[in-house]
Amino acid sequence: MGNQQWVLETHIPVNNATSSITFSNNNGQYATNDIGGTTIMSYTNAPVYRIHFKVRFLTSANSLGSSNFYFHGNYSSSNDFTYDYASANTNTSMSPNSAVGTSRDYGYSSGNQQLGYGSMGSQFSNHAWGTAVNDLDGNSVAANSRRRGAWITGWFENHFPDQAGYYPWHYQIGIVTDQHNDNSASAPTADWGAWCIGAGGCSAGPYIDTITIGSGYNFIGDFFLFRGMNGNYQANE
Amino acid sequence: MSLREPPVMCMIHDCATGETTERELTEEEYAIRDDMQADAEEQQAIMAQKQADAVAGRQKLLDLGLSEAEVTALVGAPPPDGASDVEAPDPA
Repeated sequence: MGNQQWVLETHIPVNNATSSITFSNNNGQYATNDIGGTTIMSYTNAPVYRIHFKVRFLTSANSLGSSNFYFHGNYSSSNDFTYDYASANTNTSMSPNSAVGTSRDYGYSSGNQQLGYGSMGSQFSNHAWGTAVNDLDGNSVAANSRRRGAWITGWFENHFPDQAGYYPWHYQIGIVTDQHNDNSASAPTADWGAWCIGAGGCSAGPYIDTITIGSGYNFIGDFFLFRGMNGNYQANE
Repeated sequence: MSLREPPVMCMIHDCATGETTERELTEEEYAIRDDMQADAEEQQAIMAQKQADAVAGRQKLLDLGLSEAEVTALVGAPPPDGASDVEAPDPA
């Protein structure tokens, strides 16, 4: 395979519960081509930042609140998430031709971009299939085990340079899960999932040499930082 | 010594070195976290009340003699029924 523009810069596996993760020195890593030549991933050489992730919030709260899933670049100030379409307060019900309770979420001069309305907690226990099950090896798996929760998946993307452009962040996240995510014992409920799509920016930046993702609730997950370069500098063998 | 038990951690990954470090939140960060959780609890209560109001309101319209179709035309579809769970289907 020839040299390419996209680089997997790093991967943060979050197996131990944490409240935030930070990618730092994002511009200090090098791309390497097929003959061993290196190119530093500076703003100029690698202007696109894309984070793909899956995440679970370790709480039984199904309504996280807007600020309980957030991210920001170097500046935790002057962040505007201004074009953000989300499901209800945090979650919604969907069936063919019907999506109930969608709403717009926005904020100005916040410390971060906020995606909590597109998120839900993952420690729910009233699955219709029982409070505990046994796996193929005979081990009991509790209802709120990490092995049974639903993932929130999505991506963020930013690009540089556009110092005058205040809206470089784009993002999309979603989760769909069991109908008992509100911990009610009876079906039906309307709490089946959540989603969010939108854009935002930071008028104090947008510098993104550091990117922080966090929540008021602990979480686990996987976070992959990709960089898009302005030439074919990377051999992805 | 931790500020709280169990301590709440955060992770910092240095892309230049590949090293990941963990540390406990500071007092200021704990305060922000507490505020976020309080907001979430408030949202949870608001949402629960909205759901209860929607169910009660729909029933009152039905009690007035409107048909399901008429109520749906006025206020939208009710929450969808839960799909059968393939791992534990409803008892016959």
